[in-house]
Amino acid sequence: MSEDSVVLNQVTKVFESGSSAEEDLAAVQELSLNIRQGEFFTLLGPSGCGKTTTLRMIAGFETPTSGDIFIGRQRVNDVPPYHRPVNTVFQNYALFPHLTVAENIAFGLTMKRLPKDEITRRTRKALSMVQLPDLGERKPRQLSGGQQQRVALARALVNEPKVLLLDEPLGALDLKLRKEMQFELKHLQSEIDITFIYVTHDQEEALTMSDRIAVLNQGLLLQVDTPVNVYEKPATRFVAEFIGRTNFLPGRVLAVNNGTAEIELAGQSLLLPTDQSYNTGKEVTVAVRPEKLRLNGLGHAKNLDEKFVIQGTVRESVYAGTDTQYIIGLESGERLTVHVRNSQALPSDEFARGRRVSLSCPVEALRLLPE
Amino acid sequence: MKRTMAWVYFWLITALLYLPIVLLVIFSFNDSVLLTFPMKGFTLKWYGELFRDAELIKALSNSVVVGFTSSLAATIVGTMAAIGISRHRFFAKEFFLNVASLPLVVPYVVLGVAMLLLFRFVGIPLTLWTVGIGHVVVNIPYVLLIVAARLAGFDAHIEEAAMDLGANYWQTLLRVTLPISAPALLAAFLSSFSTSFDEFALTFFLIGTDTTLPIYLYSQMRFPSRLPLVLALAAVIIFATLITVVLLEWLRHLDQPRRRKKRLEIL
Repeated sequence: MSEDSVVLNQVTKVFESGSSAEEDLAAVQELSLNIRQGEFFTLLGPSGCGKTTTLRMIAGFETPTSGDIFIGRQRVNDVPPYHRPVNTVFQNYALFPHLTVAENIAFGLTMKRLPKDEITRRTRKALSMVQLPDLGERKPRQLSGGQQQRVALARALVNEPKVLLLDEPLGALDLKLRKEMQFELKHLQSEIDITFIYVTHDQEEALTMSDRIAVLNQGLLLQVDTPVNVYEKPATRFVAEFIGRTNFLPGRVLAVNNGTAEIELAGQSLLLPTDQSYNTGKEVTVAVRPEKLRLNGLGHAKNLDEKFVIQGTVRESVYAGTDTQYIIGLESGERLTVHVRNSQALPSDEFARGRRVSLSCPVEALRLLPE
Repeated sequence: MKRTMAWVYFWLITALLYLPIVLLVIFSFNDSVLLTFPMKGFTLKWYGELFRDAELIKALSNSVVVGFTSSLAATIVGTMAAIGISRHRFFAKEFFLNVASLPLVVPYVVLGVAMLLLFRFVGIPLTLWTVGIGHVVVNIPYVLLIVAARLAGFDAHIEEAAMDLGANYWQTLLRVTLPISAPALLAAFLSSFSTSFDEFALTFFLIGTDTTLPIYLYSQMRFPSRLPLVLALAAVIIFATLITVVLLEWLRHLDQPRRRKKRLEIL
């Protein structure tokens, strides 16, 4: 996991609008990434964030306006797609409709002019790898969506690329199949030790499958980190909002020293870690995840190890199977969402609508968002 | 009431379309040079004479040769234009498309006069070649539209997938783009052929001493005794056309794998 597999250095892609009236669109701006050998790396963001453009630049379908792309140690800016050691699984699979499944899978090997028996052997192996050993003679349109997806995967992997690019490969599948394929893909990747670069807008998919996630928005890279850190320590308000659900509370800086900031939050003074320096009196935003908050009846004794406590009134409660979701109105007018796991038999009416409650969480659950 | 009107309308149009054809076929078997009822008797002699008429056979073969050659050329040029327009970005694309589509709107008579002037001006003698060139020009826009529609209908990612798997531009064209477009190419060729085969207005201006079938038939109309022969020939052509239409329809269905896929999913 040490060697870099794909490196992007200050890569910018500008699409010319084609008319002088419209402004040219920067799809990707000064993006730098170091993707390691054997890593499951995910580009995550809403549609139009530049993730697909980035993938297409690595595949060779788009040329960067500026900046460099390296695969292995080779600069590939001017290398056409058919000479790059990468293969792509396309969003709608893009299988060749006029060829059989086996011919589809053998396409890349045929282009390399490998001996016929080797092509047959590797095609057969790829078919069994994706668990479709008997469907080689079918045409793609005779397969289900999930089977087509596997064929697309086999067609790419049979070439033993250094890097596999996947452009929302599970987007067209239904939820159950998608969950199964997520698991299978992850399992496959850990076995074959090929770098996967995975594009998705589905934050849950990104969290469950990736070694690292790069979060993009409007062509800008916001954060690159492990799923745990992206979720627990979001770098910006956008990241916090896009991945999972988050509450935001307005606070004010009282003092800063040595990597901690003293913040006034809902009338309490708290010490939160930060790597930035703030002016005293600066308005800041503190994020807290709905499942980190605890809901307590007012009559209960305060939980001593939980340092942040705030009072409010239950405005709404929604039963959602594994947990119950409450909307709590604070005196300041803010509304907080709290998820309470339904670990007890049934939710009690202690938190019925209109009840006064107190919310609490450990200080570590509070995240001071950088500017 | 409304339904009755629709019924009357339908049969009126049908009669207008098909009655002349039915009469033509019937009279081609009539043992007389006069096209009047009552008919004299059943005969196949006009069909027999047809195949002994050297001049007519020559005109027919001229038409087939011109039709085949010009359609092939139009299909090749039109397909290249379609690929250029739907798969590449280039300067003044719109302008190019409009120029290529011009023969769709310019009357063939005007085009015929214009091309005649051009050939005279450049000093090219009028032969079947000039006719063929004229047919290529009028058929290019049809080929372009038919093939471009097919290209627009399939996912451009498919061609990217081929390149991703190691195929260069030409390999992608030969192994993926053209095979997937094959039904459209054949349909474009057949449609060009049928246009060329019965084209009259343009041909009339560009023809030299060798004639094509429509021009020959028109010239024979001056001799009443030749009329039944023309009828017999027309009947033969109608059957040939029917077969072509059925073939084209069949190809058009081949051309729509998506619909078939839907049907499969329903099953």
